[in-house]
Amino acid sequence: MSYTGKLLRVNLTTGHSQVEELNKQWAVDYIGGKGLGLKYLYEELAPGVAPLSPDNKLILMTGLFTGTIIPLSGKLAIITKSPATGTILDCSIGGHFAAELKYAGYDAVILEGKASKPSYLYIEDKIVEIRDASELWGQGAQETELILREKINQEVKALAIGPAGENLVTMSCITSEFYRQAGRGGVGAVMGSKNLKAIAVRGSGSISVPNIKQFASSMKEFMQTDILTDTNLWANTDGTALLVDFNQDTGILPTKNFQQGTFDDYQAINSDALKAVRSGKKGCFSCALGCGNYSRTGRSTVEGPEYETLALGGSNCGISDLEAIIEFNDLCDNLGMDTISVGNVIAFAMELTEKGIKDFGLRFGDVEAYLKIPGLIAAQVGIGVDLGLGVKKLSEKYGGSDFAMHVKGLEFPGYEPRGSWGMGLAYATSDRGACHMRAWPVAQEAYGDLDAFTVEGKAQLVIELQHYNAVKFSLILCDFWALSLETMGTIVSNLLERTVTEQELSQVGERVVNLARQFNVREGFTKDNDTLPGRIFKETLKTGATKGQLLPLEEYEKMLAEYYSLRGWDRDGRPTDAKLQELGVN
Amino acid sequence: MKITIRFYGPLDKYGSQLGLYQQEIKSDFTLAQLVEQLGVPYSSLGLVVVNSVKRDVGYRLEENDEVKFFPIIAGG
Repeated sequence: MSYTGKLLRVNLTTGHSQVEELNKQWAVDYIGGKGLGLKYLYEELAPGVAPLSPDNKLILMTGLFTGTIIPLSGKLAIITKSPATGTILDCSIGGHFAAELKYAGYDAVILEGKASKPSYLYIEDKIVEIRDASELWGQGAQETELILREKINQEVKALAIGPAGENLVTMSCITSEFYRQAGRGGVGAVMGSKNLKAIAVRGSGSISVPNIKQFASSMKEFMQTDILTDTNLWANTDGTALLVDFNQDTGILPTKNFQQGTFDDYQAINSDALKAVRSGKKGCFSCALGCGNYSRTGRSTVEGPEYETLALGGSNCGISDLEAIIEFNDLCDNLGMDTISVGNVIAFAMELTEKGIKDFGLRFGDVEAYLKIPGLIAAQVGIGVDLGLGVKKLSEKYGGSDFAMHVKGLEFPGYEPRGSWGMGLAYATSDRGACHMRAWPVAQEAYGDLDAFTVEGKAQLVIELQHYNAVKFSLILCDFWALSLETMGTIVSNLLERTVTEQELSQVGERVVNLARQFNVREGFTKDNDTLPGRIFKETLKTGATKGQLLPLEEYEKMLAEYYSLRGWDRDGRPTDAKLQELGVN
Repeated sequence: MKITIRFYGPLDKYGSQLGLYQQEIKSDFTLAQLVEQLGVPYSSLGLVVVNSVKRDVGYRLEENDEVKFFPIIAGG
């Protein structure tokens, strides 16, 4: 078995920690990662808890695959209630922390309460200590990791927040290994609200798997036949920056706060441009693809920028200066903030300024002003106080809601839904707000054979993709291995020594999606929240392959109604009792 | 007639790692015929764009067309 069967619960208020048995039935029903973390949170968190109060919990969850040689299994799921949206929130983060936690003997850590002073949590096998972090408080996320390595051990694996998390900015992230982030929804602020600057772990144990020889041989075979192939190697040759060209040519590259779907200067920020400043590569635990690309310029070194940063911090802000985008990325990383949300809020403020609604002194393409913003938001000074509210709350304060590009308070990722109508549905129905990692129909619509400009068949497509991704993030695997559910079933069956079919896994995915929905319904979310900004329904795009396109509201509503119906949810988007019973969701 | 070809990511090997390059082809040539001539497996092809417009393999190529071959991509 590749579970340790142990869960570490730490109460930061009392300083007490205890080891518990992992709930075996829940592990069968939800596997691990996203699904199992969500189940624990759903059962333990009372409805209505303020996300930044000591009553909220922060759950670190590994998966069935974590710590083994299964390729691309190095990720950790972090689950909490989001301070940005008030919804359920799960993020996944790469690096080596998850495997190290498992080697320390734990499948999961549940953090509760609030420390009385800045602290960090140290775990080394059975040693669990809440330590003073007064010298770390105020440091950048990257500096924090450096200090921890210096103090503890160069091999220690850590999660850390920057000043943004300390200052409870709801777009703050959690960082690991300097450049990997659990980026979205304000997980960093939840850590900050608990006075928890970092979590450091060392593990000396191991994970056992059945039939090790056969297991190792089948992993070697997967490596050759299913990973180091034309279907996955884009992650190695280019990484996500390749998407700049994809999206320019298909008219879905967000530009100037989603006013356009193409960017005239896209060649200044694409993968070819990045290759000119590439200085190295990096992979996570057990990954042969190594999608991490270091870029070095005169002022900064980052791992990336990833596509989302190039799009939201680049074209969407009208910025074509690659060195400036790399610096923006570097600033956000060390301050501990999500580049997607920060890029979005800057672009929104630029449009508010240019439209004369509220003058933030920000204009599209103004590099100097743009580079000042991350520091102001993280420190919560000047216009950083307003911009730190995020796009939704900023629009509620000053107006511009039609072009406030968010769903449920989470800002849009880098795919224009007017050029991929299913993506619009995926954003609107994602459990944590506008997200591209719950379903990504862009591959089938904008890049593939499906007609991007129809709602026909899209509800079913989005449902299937949501189930698939829910399984992938529960196992937990990286998004970049394009493996089939059947292959997942084969690996799971080998580990558990019983047959787990593709259909069973798909039902786990459906169960996870329904439990997440139940969480959000319990928090008061309704059909009215499953919508998109007015711009998507009212304004046509003006350039490229999406010229003349919008997503008609009546078509969107038809697609949403079909989605609810196919899901077995009522007309207001609530899972029916029959559906919950069928899935065993209480 | 002359066209321009660009392979992206791991597909670059089908264009001899030349990046953007020009190639002479027969007139009255379809994208399907070009794909076959270049030896690109269909299972590796994600998106084909000609002059910034997504095309299927039935498209009939014209002089000076710029053809881009993108790989299949997962995630985002």
